[in-house]
Amino acid sequence: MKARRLTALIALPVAVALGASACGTGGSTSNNSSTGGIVTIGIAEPEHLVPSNTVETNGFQVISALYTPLVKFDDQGKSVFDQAAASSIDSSDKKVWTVKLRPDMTFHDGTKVTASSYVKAWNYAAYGPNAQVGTDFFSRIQGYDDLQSADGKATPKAKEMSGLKAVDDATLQITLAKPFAEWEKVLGYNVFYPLPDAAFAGDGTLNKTFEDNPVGDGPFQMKGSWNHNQSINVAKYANYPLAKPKVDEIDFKIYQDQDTMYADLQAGNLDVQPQLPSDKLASAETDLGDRLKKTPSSYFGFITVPTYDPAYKPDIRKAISMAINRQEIVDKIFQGAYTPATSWVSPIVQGARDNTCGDACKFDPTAAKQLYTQAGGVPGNKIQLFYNADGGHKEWVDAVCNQVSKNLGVQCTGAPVAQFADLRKQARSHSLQGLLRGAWAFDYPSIEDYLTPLYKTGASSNDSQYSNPAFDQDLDKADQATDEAKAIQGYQAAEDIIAKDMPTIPMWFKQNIYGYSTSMKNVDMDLFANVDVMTLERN
Amino acid sequence: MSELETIVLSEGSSSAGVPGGDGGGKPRSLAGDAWRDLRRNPVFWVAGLLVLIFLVMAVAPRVYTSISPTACDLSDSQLPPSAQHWFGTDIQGCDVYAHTVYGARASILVGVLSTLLAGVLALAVGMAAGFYGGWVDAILARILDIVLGIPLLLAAIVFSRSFGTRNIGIWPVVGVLGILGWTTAARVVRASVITAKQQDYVQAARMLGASNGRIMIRHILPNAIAPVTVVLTIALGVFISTEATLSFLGAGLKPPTISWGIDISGAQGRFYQAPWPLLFPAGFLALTVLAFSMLGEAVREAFDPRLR
Amino acid sequence: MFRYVVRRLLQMILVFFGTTFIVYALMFLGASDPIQALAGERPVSPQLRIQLTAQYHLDDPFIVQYLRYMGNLLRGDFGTQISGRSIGAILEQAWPFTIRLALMSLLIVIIFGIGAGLIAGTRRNGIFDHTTLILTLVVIGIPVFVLGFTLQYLLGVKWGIADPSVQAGSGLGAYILPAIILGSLALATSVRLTRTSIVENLRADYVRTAKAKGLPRRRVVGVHVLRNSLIPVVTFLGITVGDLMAGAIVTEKIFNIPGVGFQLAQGIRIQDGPTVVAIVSILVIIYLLANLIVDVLYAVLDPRIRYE
Repeated sequence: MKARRLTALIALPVAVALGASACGTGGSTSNNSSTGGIVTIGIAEPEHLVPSNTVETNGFQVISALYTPLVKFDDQGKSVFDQAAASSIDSSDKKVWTVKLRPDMTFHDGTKVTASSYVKAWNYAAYGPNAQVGTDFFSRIQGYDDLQSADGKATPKAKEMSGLKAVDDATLQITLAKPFAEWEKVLGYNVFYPLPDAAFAGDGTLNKTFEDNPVGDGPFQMKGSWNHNQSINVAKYANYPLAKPKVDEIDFKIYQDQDTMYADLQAGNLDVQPQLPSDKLASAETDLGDRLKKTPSSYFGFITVPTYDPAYKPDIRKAISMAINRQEIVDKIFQGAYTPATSWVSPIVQGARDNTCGDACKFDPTAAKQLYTQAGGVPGNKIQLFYNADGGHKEWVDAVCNQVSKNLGVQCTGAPVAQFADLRKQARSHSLQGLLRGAWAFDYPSIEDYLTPLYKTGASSNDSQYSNPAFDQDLDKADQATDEAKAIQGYQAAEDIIAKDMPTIPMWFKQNIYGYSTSMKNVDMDLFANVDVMTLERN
Repeated sequence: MSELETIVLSEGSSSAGVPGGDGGGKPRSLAGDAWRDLRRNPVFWVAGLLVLIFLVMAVAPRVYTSISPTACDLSDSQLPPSAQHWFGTDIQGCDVYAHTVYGARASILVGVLSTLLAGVLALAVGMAAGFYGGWVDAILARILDIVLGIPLLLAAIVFSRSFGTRNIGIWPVVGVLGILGWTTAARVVRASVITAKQQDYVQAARMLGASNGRIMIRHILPNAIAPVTVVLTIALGVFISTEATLSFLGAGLKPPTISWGIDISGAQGRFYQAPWPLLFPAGFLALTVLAFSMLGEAVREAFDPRLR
Repeated sequence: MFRYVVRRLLQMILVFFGTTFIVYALMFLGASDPIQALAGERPVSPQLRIQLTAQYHLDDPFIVQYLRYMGNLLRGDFGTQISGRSIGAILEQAWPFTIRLALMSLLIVIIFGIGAGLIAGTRRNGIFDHTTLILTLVVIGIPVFVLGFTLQYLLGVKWGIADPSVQAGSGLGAYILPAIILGSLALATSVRLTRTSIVENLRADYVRTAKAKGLPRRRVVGVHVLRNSLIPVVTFLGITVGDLMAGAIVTEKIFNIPGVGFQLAQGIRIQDGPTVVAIVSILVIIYLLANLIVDVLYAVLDPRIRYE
């Protein structure tokens, strides 16, 4: 008898609790009008929202709504200016560039956007002691080196770059240290956004509160502050001079885990998931149907070979490459959403050519085994493929290793480390003994961006430690070419050198794979893998 | 480690440790009584059999299957259970049954070895604290607090990182679990040592001139072992389960080791398309934990005279 | 009693420094390149590296960094991450979520744990008792993330009776499912603990006396037995408070709760020593205070216990 009363006492709160939890759903997908409305987009917590400090996708996604770039790109990677902050970008010698700004752009606080807005923002970004993560992008501008401190403690010689000048309110003049044909494209990257005067404190640093409340010149402005780890809300900017967005507000919901984001998408608590994890692709095709979209992306996945390690001479690299059945991995692991890569440049940029890899990227286990044995194999007959455990790479790495093991008769194992930082450090110090997973997405739509940062001697993302003076020279020559076509030809010649030496083994080109809920009518993604906030539309 | 705290307290060890005499001599010893009870308890036999099955699986996996867990063919990815693949295949095309059988070794070894390590540490610390008392006890209690304050995830990552990129097998995980997991068992040992210390026969031995060491090993240790064994069998289950959680957090065992934890956390993402690569290792893990825990429960009930 | 409390508080200081030192050392040992970790996979320019290293004294020897950090910590300055964000501000935003989660979890453990344990104990060897035993051991055997994701899918997505994640403005109701997952192990254990305690006490002499005196069973169990049985449970619950806060890493990840567990896991992952040590130092203090309160409460509940 006592037990029954107790059972009742327990059952009652349970019922109440479950009822209360159902009532606990926030009103995040409410407020629908036929146009306008609020859209919720899932992201991870951004590192920064100050443009010059933002180099990762989450921050980029948010500030692409808050700012307008100097130049935009169409689907083929060509520059377009009709919805950009600049009306034109010209240079006759590819060294001195003249940027003509639209006169009617304003910041969300009402002040005008002038050339000096850009000058102040870029000098701030370039100045060493400000420790901006995107500072490297300004290194081509003349005078950049004077803003760097030799040892981190001494004050730099200057606070302003000599190559940067505001000729008048609507004209910006940039002088590069050396001619660079692709500079116009570089300016489309998010680190080049302008900053209002109100962003700066008296001493030239940024106001402490600016990062949580960034003020830009884009189609949306901040609504409230950055709610760390929770959300960032933006609302339409009434005085935007260019085409207006279709929705009224965007609520960027911040998630720790992509699987949880997907659960919310399924439950209808989230409108857009910009990146579906590969292990959910199969169920997404059933769950979402045609609300699952795939669009071209600049992402290039590859395997980095430690060129400093004599065990991995070029023939071994070719053998490994030929032992991998890329198509099968794409089919089974990625549900066919990727494309096997047979060149080192993503097909979405101009100058990309198909199959520069040739036979070396063709799946041929017999030839691979032959080449491998002829080349003498690797010491200990063991290969390790290192990757960072936090990126969802385990499945394809294991698949690659299984294929290589089977087809070459070698023992290949995936070797996870906690995060990428560990790997890069070892690669730099030449202590990494094995292959390394690599990936690249462009900062600007140019073939050059797939070559210089990855393969030039000492370049920042050159994890293979590849160093080839002939290649470097080809790049320099192409950089200085006076017209686009010649430049592209030059870069293509450089890619041919890479094809011969194979410091990286191309694996696949990815697509943007995203999904949205039934409340959305239209969701597009651009080449930078950002949801296009201008074309978002609710049902 | 937190879960262990809870486990040991659940066994009502507020007054643990029953003086069992010094073995031999008496015709009806506690151990003899306990064994008689155990023999008549069906739970003991069932749990014991399960434990035996899994131990054989860990030691000699080939008894259970002739398929190699590394014979993976991507074209056979995610096949449902069939005659050739009793448990189906996973995303890589590996046979799930073979993976589960071979995974028993790493998972159970991790459990057994870390339990042994925790047990040794618990006995050492608990006996010293209980026997010497005073400031020794106070210091050891504070060391115990410090160990409890260290996050498991942090220690696991640091341990696995400190060996660079060489793979040294299960030892980092065993080390972490053992070094962070002895605290609860130590408390149990200490409590039973304190009780045993006050028994008449211990006073007698001391008066007869026995050294501290001799007293600790011959008289006190046998009493401390019984209750702590129960705690440790349950801890073993928790350790095996924690290995899986560490794999999920990216700080667990590494390939080419095969373990249930690695398989479970790897299969989690695709669970709704293909549940079997997760269900079978998880099922085996749960069964193993269940078996060890029930064995511990049966032993405890047999040794507890208050439950007669 | 007063001297005991003062002594414990002094020892607490020792433990605080011991734990923070060890955790700081672990972070230092485990750090390979915190600046690269800041940029993820993007390259870090040499200028930026020089700048950040100088700004955050990353090149100083370990002991200098530690002393500087502790000096600031004791003045209430939690420091800054190398991304420039104030750790104090981050923690201030994160704590309320974890506290809500942990307290709700504790509430569930207390209500349902003690309630179910009471039933199981008063009806020993009944169906309820055996069911709770099996459930307990199964809960230990299923890794917490499997339980979490499965219930999240079933209750949150498939049947839609709960929220799959905790939204920014959601009420307490959304915390119920995560609280159950977080406390699952503690819940299972408190059921068993209460049950064992009650079973033991039901056989005590004073219960027989009370029944012989004619007291109604309800009063005997509800007043006398329960009060005595709660002693080990209270001890266990005090420890659980600290555990829940630290163990929230997995639960917060699955249910997207922006609390301290997430910050801890993130800090460990990106090699952010100051954040991890800051969180651990707070957790240690909470844990030690909870322990002290429990030990004092223990003396209050059981008048036979005296501290000098």
